[in-house]
Amino acid sequence: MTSQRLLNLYTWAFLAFMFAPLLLMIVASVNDTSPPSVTEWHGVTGKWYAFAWMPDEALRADAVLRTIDRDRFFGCFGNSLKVASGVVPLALLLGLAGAVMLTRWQSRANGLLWWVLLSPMLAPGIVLGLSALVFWGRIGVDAGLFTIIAAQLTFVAGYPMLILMARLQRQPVELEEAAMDLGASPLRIFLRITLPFLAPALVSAGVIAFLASMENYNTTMFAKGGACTFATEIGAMARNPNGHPPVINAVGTVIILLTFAAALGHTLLRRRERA
Amino acid sequence: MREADQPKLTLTNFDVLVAATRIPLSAEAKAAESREIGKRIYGLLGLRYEQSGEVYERLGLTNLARTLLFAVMTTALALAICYPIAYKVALATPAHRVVWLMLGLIIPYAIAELMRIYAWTTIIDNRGVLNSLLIWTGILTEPIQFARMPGTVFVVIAYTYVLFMVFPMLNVMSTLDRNQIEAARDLGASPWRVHRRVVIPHAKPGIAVGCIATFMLAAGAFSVPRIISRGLQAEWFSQTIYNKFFESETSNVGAAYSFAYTLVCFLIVGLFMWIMQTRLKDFARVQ
Amino acid sequence: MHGNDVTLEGVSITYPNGFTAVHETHLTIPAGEFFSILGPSGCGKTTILRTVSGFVEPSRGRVLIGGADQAGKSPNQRPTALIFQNLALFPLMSVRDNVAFGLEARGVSRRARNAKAEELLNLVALGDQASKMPGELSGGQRQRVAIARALAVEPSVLLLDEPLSALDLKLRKHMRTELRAIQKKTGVTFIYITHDQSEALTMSDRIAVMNAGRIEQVGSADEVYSNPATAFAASFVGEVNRFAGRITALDGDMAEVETPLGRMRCRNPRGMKPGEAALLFVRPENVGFASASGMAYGNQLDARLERRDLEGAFISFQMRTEAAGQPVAMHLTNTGTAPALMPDGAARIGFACESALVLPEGPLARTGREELGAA
Repeated sequence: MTSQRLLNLYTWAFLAFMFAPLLLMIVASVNDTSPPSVTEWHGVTGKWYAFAWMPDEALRADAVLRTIDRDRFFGCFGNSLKVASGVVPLALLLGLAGAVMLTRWQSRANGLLWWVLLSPMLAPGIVLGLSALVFWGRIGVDAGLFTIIAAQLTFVAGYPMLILMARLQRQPVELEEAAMDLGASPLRIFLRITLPFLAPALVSAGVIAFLASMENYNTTMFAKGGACTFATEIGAMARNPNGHPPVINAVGTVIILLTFAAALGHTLLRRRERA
Repeated sequence: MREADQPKLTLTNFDVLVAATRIPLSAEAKAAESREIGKRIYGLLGLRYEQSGEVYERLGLTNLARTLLFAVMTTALALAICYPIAYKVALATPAHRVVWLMLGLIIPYAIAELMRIYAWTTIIDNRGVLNSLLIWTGILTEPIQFARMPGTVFVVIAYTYVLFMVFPMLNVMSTLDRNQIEAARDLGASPWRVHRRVVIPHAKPGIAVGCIATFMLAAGAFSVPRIISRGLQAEWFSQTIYNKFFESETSNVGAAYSFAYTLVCFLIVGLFMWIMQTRLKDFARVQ
Repeated sequence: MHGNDVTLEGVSITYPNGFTAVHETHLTIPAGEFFSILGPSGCGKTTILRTVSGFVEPSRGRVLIGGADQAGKSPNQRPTALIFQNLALFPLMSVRDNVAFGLEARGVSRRARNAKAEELLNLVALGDQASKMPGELSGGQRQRVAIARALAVEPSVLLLDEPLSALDLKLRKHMRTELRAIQKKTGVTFIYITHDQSEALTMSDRIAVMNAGRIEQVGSADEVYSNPATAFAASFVGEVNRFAGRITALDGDMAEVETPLGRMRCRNPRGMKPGEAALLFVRPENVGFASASGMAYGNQLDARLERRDLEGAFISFQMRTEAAGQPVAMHLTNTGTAPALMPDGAARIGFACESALVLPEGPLARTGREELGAA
């Protein structure tokens, strides 16, 4: 039983390792000092959150917040949403096509196809961004939101593909054969049998693609040209020689709480479904 | 189109990567450096040599080798950290409690990468948690500049990408019938033997995929060194590519760096897959 | 609904890797027949079914349904419906939608196809289960939904791929009767694939015995059981005692065979010649105690009791003979007339010459075209 105890202890230590930095981030987000700190306590403040909605005069009055271009900050956030709204549907479409092809279309070229479709997921993220930039530059497309979408798509499409493929492999081929035998056309089989079966997987693939697109930094940095996304804008704040403003901690806290609520809600929902 | 406008194929852009640079060193510094193990290894690899009294180093290649070494070490560390966790969640927890443990893994996994990195700045700052703690306990009198230590980038990369190792392993492990473990125990196998003969062989595809994912993420890491080190220490190779591409006179050199890097990474992954007998199809199976 | 006849004209199927799953086969199944293909797994019976339904194109030969060549027609264009081994009910559709799916694909209005589904569900006694999902039904009910779904498209040929194999014995026996009844009621041609001989024997009008890609015999249940055409058919269908030997003499339709148990006399349906290696077959129920019955069996031998098992309606005796490694199985009706034999007790046993037959080893030798399927 001692080895079991040891394993439990280790698991708690691991979870502490995972969550401690996040907790510190939350604590620092209400500390009235910049750069964010938890060791020097200057009193509780909500201004790092209020940054999002406080009037311009109040903004200009604060020595730290004054240095951040709020309009640009939210402009970049909008860009991220634009990019994601392009990446997610395209990634689902490409992923679906790839998944159907690799699971239902057996051919000798299959091995090669695997490599072609999966290699972007295996390449360093920076290389994908750079390749998209060079490729579209050659064609005459200037770097910007479009090249970001193109670059992110190369690897984001892999997630839906893998998720949908796993699901497709669990669906017996006989279902599609039975539908065909009963006189259904390939399109009807896809719409009536395959797609409903894939629906839950499509939803989770969409969520994962959205998160991957929103948080991506490594690839986007190379493909963005003059444009910005939320991730690159937040990343750029690290270059501040005085340390980053606690606004980032506030944003991080919001993300953490949203993620927490979503994951908890999802888990509870699934438990109720099963009960 | 005229002849001159045709792009010519050339390998000269790759020369920059392998080129050696003279390192101006005083005699004492030279003697001191030649005793360092790292520099000696560079010497053995041909990345550093002496010619007519001057020290030369192939800076591009040493940087490449250093980054890859760190990436491999990160992968090994992540594997060591994750194996017990994956085992715990997949095979050593009653089913009704797995949900909550999974939640504990999914939440940090789903939080944006950058946020997980920024969360560390509060810890490693000169006036951060770690330094305050060390000074308060009296171990230190002066704060350590963690941002200048390569080890810090290493740890934060491990933290950032460790969960990419957990999930593939966990997903494969949970397909193992728990009765097999009990049967092995029942037949008198020690816990160690149960892992070596039952759990690890079953989890192999997951281990392989987790290692490949973690290695590629660590090798391609750009955000961590950029945010954590803030230019206070040697570049990660991904930063070198960025600088060569955007800040040198010809971006083609950056492209050559990037291509060479991809090739080397693919070679390492290919070799690893061959050793582990992994096929690409395993990537779909571990989802 | 009406049935159609099915003809395989010299059909053979060879896979790209060079494996021949089905050798040249000629077969005619008349309209409205319940036809079974019986054989061990891997013998090619499922391949034949998939060829008729259109999932596999024959490498050579033609498939005709109702006289119409089916070449180039995909499964959704053929007048066949297939019932899969795992049933392949659509898990996300209600029972009603499952049954109506074929009509939906044909563009039939919702009202009309629901009415038809209702009618068919009543036929299989599931009229009150229409709104349930397939997952909520029992094994036998799911089975019947699959039948109703296949019948909804009014196929003239229904193909069944071991559809009862997932059910327990009792339900399986019940479903045999139901299947037979549905077939009679609808008049649709049934082609039924199975490896279970009792399924084939009880349900079928005719049976094809298949082995290693070849049909070895086609005939009624009685024919296949009493007059197997090949050594495989004799061994695969029912229990049988088998003695290897050599033909020594002929006497009209009968032959004399030298076996390790002595010289035996038996039927010679294949007209084997003296000197040929032969296998002598006799069913356990045709072997009896020579002393008890008071009958003078044409073939007799000495044996000792090895084991006696009471099976209920009959008693199974395992007899040891003088020839090593050649036991003889006997089944005697449990009417109380069997002699009380002690373990290892000696007895004289025998069987009538007409109840035994000799066949050559190996499959049926083929000489060119052979119409096995002629009704």
